[in-house]
Amino acid sequence: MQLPGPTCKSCGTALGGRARPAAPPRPQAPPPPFSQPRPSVTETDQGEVRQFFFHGSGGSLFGIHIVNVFLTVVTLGIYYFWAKVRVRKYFLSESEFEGDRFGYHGTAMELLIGFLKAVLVFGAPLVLLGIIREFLVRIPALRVVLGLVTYAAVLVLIPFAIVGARRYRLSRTSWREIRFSFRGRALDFIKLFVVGSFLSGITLALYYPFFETRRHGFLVAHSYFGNQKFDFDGRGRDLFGSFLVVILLFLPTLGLIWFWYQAKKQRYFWEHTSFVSARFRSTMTGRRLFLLTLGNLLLLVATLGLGFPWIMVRNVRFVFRYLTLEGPLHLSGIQQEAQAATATGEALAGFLDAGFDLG
Amino acid sequence: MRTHWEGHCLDGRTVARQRVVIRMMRQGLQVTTENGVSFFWRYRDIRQTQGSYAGEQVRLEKGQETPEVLLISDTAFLSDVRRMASELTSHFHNPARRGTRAALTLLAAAGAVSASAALYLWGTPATASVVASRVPVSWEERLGQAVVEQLAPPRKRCADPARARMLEEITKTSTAPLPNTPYTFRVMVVNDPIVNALAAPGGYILVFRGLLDRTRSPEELAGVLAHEFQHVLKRHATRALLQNVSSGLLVAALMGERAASWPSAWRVPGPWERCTTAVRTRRRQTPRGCDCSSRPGSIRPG
Repeated sequence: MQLPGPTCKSCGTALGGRARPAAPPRPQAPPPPFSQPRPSVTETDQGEVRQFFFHGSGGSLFGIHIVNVFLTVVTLGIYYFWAKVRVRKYFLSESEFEGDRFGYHGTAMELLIGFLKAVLVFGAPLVLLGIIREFLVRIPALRVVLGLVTYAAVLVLIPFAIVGARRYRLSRTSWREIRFSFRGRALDFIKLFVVGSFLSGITLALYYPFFETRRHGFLVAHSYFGNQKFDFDGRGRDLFGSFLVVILLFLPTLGLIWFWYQAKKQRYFWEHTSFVSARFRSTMTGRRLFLLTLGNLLLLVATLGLGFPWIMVRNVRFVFRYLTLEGPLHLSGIQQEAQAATATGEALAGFLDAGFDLG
Repeated sequence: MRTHWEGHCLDGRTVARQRVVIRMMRQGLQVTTENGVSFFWRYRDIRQTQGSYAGEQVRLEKGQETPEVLLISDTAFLSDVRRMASELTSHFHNPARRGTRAALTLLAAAGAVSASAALYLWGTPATASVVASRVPVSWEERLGQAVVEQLAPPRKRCADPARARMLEEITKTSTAPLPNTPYTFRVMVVNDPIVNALAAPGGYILVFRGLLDRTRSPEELAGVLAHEFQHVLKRHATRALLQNVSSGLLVAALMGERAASWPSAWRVPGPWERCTTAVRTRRRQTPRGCDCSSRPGSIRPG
């Protein structure tokens, strides 16, 4: 869906259209003077630096979670979709950039319909295939063939789900009421995913950093905010050396080097992501990531799992604490270009656990 | 009561936001932009999408798809607008009821615990019982095979022909009185010193070597086997399997959206996983090439 061009619906000339006269009479009392806008950009040696903020709290999220659990249990799971929407709305409306909060516009009914479609179109045939293979087919060769067919179907469905979930979630996310969108073709991503998985397999995972970078790049470079796209200029070979170090030192460091690699990868991915003339930057380090993970684990164990909402909040705060957008940000040319998306891929991603998350 | 508020307006077309002054009126909000343009929003056309939590800016939207938006940072706006037109703004969040919300949350917590306990104790067993009775025997046999492959792969089974004959004899004698059972009972001995036997779905019975060591007569073993046959006939194993799947779903509901991607340590183990855990923790050191020839005492079958 492409929305019409910028015309003011009601609030003034600065929006590009003719000002509409007010329906009721003008206010009788004089309005108070406009206050000065608060500064939202920091000037540093690197130029303008903009930061993200998260205002949510574990306590509020815990309250939402408890009510969600109660209603999900008493409705035998049907409320799950409403619960999902409540949590997403909370996270986005507590996230701030440039003094404005993000918005989530998805509805539970969309998710429910997407779920039913995914069950009918993808889930049922896969389950049926599994049942036929497990219980009805006695010929070993045929069972192997059916197993391969199932594997191939899942291999194709995973990228399809990733793209679908991203398309849906971005289409329902806004900042200053301008929607994000994802415009990559599912077929292109499926090709990239299947080839990347195959090459990673036959090279004993040596191709993995190239695959991961290309995968990430595809998802970022086809993402839009309004009519303006994001750009990604990362290359897998820049991460290859670090990946080799991880392979060599994984056992000697008891796996701790993985945190170093994850932080480096996140920094690299953010630093090669740009929007208009501004570029993202992350200062996350492996040590901080390790401490976050350790803290989360302790919190989880000490609260017998009840501390999970606090962990979710900690994770988002962690990403935002080290994330900035640097350089001049020209937003004046950005126009609304909302794109239609269904929640089927989103539901499928839920089945396959192939969703995406911040950071 | 304050009637004039500062805020921002977004038109849903561009990123630009304009500062506005909002005047509360009986029927709606009179909004005036910096440019002096005014427009009027009726309360019934407005929906509030943010501002229900402490510190959150109030966000009012009008229109579908890409709505126009008013943002008001001062959350006291909500209290005052309700005072101004309480009947027309009942769909807005009422900050005065935040205390009630905390009480309701506590109530929901108690409700969640009670409902989960009721589902766990009665709901899932009842559902599993109904479903288990409708699972075809051929499906149960496949499930049983999968369990046997996991718990007693061929290398862990005792293959003593004499004992196999004896077990077959006991099985035949014990199941002879059963009228037209759909199951074919297969008894296998697992080379493990624990004293136990278990029934897998579809007629598979696993007897551990330790049990044979401690059994003094064929009648004793027949008693144990008869107990296991009843498990099979009453589909207890299939029911337990279904019950565990249901409990897993319940845990997923309790943990929320992220449960699916949690570490596998959070999964509820199935009955067979639990069983193998028990076997592993109770296993004694067994010498290589352990004696697989134990039989129930010095008895003769019959």
